[in-house]
Amino acid sequence: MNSSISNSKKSVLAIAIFLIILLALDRAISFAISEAIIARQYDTRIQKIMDQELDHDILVFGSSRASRNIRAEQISEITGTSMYNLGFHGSDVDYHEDILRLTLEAGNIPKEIILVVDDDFEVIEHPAINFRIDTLYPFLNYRPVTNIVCKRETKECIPTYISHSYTQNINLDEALAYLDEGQLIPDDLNQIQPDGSMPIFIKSEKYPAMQYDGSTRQYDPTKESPLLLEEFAKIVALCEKYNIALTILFPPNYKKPTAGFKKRILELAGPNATSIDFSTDPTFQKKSLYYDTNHLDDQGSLLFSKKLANTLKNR
Amino acid sequence: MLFNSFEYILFLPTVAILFFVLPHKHRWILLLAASYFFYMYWDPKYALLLAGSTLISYYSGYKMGQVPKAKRLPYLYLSIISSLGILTIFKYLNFLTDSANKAAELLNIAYAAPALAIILPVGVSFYLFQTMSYAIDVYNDKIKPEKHLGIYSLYVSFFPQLVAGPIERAGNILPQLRTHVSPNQKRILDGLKLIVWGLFKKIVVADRIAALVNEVYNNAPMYEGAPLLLATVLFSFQIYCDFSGYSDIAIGTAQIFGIKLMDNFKRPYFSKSIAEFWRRWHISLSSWLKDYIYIPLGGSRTVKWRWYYNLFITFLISGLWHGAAWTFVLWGALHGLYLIVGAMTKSTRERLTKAIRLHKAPFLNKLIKVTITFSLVTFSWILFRANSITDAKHIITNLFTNFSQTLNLETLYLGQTKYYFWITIGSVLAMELVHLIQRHGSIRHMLSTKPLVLRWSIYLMLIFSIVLFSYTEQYEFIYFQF
Repeated sequence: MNSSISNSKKSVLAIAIFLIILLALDRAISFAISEAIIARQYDTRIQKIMDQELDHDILVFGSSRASRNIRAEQISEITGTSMYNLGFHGSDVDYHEDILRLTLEAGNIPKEIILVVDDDFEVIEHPAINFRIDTLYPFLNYRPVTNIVCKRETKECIPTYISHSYTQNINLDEALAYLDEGQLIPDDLNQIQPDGSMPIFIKSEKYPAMQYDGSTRQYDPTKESPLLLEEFAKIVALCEKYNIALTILFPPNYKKPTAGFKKRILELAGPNATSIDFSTDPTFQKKSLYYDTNHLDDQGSLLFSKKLANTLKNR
Repeated sequence: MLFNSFEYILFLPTVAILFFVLPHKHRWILLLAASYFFYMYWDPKYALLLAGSTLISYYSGYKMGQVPKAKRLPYLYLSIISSLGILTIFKYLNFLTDSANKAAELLNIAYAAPALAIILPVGVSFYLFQTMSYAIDVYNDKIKPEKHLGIYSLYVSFFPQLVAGPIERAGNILPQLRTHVSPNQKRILDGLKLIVWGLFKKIVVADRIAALVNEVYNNAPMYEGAPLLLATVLFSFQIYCDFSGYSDIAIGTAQIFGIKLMDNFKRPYFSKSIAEFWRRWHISLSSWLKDYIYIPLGGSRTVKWRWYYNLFITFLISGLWHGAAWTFVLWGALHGLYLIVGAMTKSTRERLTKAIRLHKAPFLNKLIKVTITFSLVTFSWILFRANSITDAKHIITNLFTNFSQTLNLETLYLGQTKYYFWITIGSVLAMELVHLIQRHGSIRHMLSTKPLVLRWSIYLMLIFSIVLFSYTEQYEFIYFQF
């Protein structure tokens, strides 16, 4: 009887020690992966969001039209108000909403948000844009980021509370790459600036053949995605909740704007939002200012940012 | 519910704790309810099919137990025909109509049977083989019919082996379901270790390989040479780890409840002949086909042509059992041919071995045999994995096309990073190292004699490799589709 109790005690003790070692190793491994994957990144804007380092008057949200075209630092110099660019190329309005929510909930509350919209697929599903979940993976050490990833069902949620190694495992390959190769080297299209913007210093391969598209297109609201509409409405609601001014920016494109798009977006943005429209500005119908049909190049973005700064200043 | 899911990590301990808390006489109710819950997690409506086939085979067995053998045949037919009927409707009907349509098209006959929206219920081929073997065994007086409907239902639906085997025999399982089981620390820990090993094979090896193989086999026309060959060899390991991993988890889980399931794999890629391969691969199906098809057909104790015919038919059925597609039929036929050619050339090969004095170098002799067997099996997997006959033809004819040009590391990473690729190769090698060690006996037994630090280090390595490598897409077990 006594020996059986003693054996049971030994078993419980062994299991307890095993679990403690398991837990300690789990935390150690996840810490190592997390440190390596963050050190691997050149774009650490999400880390800045989570560490509440974005104390700016104006934050810019949007896809590549935001990140490529808007030079926050130049605008800050002209307007005297600080601006930071949180545009992520290839991202949709669903992603912008989550990044905005992360930003606000982490305590970075700006006075104004500029949302740069994509003509004509801001609330229509398009192969060029999606929810850029890949940009979140390196920052899974932040619980709110993990929650977004779990919500997207690329990870089971409950195990992320138990095992940090499970939470971080998607970063394993890249963490190993950091040990082997060091930090990622940005290519010509990913030259991130201290102000968060990513201007393009080259021309697209398609540039020589690029022609101004003056054809008339009509916006078709029947193609709108209910999900993207909902996310757009959430952005408007978040701005109202945090008492933040929302400005909808229609950037220049090397093509004629889609008829009815602006009207529809402003309708969705509601009466409290203001707008700035450069989509018909003749200054930007000059081919040399563009990288491709949808994005300005370095010189184009400087010129656009200067004009935008003056508009903001003179409101 | 998938074995490799978080739900199962919650499900198993819950059922195990309740099992040992409950008195013995009520445990079958718990296991039966848990098994149906486990099954209904996929699609509740297919539980009706499971229950229906259970009731029919139970009734057949029960009635056969009440009459002399001479009068049992109608009840046997009832069980067999209902099982084959379910299989035909749910598994083969669309294949048959599709084949008929294609044949009509070839013969320029205006005929087009409609395709029906039928989804194959998971595990149907496995549990129906159990109900059929039960009925045949009762008919042949090999076992007594089970009178307790609950216990019999549990035999058909026991969750560890319900959806992908091992295909158990009533004679092995029914007595165990009635045996009183006490919680035994060693048995439970052994079961857990087997589960962890099975998860390692599935998550760390099979699922990682799947990403590499899928890239090539789902875009087969775009590939030629070395990537095709590499993907084909890797698929051999994928299917082994996927299926034997499932079997290990099933056997380990059953062991926790005091049920010993039959071994399903015995290091099959170390086989020295195709015949030996089939004694070591999916043993529960091979032995089922042997006992209920091959031997009733006459087996090997007959004239040679009939023996070859028996072999061929058995493997054709094996191919059809695996899937309702011509690729599976061809795969089965190819294995039948391998065995026939093997039997026909056995004495010639033995004479050749002696003539070149290979029998004097047993290790080399074995190495050659194992390599040839592995190559033949791997070649046959092309038919098994290819998405269509056209793809299979492309792969077979282009395995060595532009081989040297396609033999570079960047191409061989098959769309993944070099870290992904080399970790995957490393995990295959680690598994094969374990298999080599297992030649000298059970690795669990060997480990138990080693110092605690070494044992725990190995367990921790296994657990963390599962946790760290479970980020790849979660794939269903390959054999679920059968």
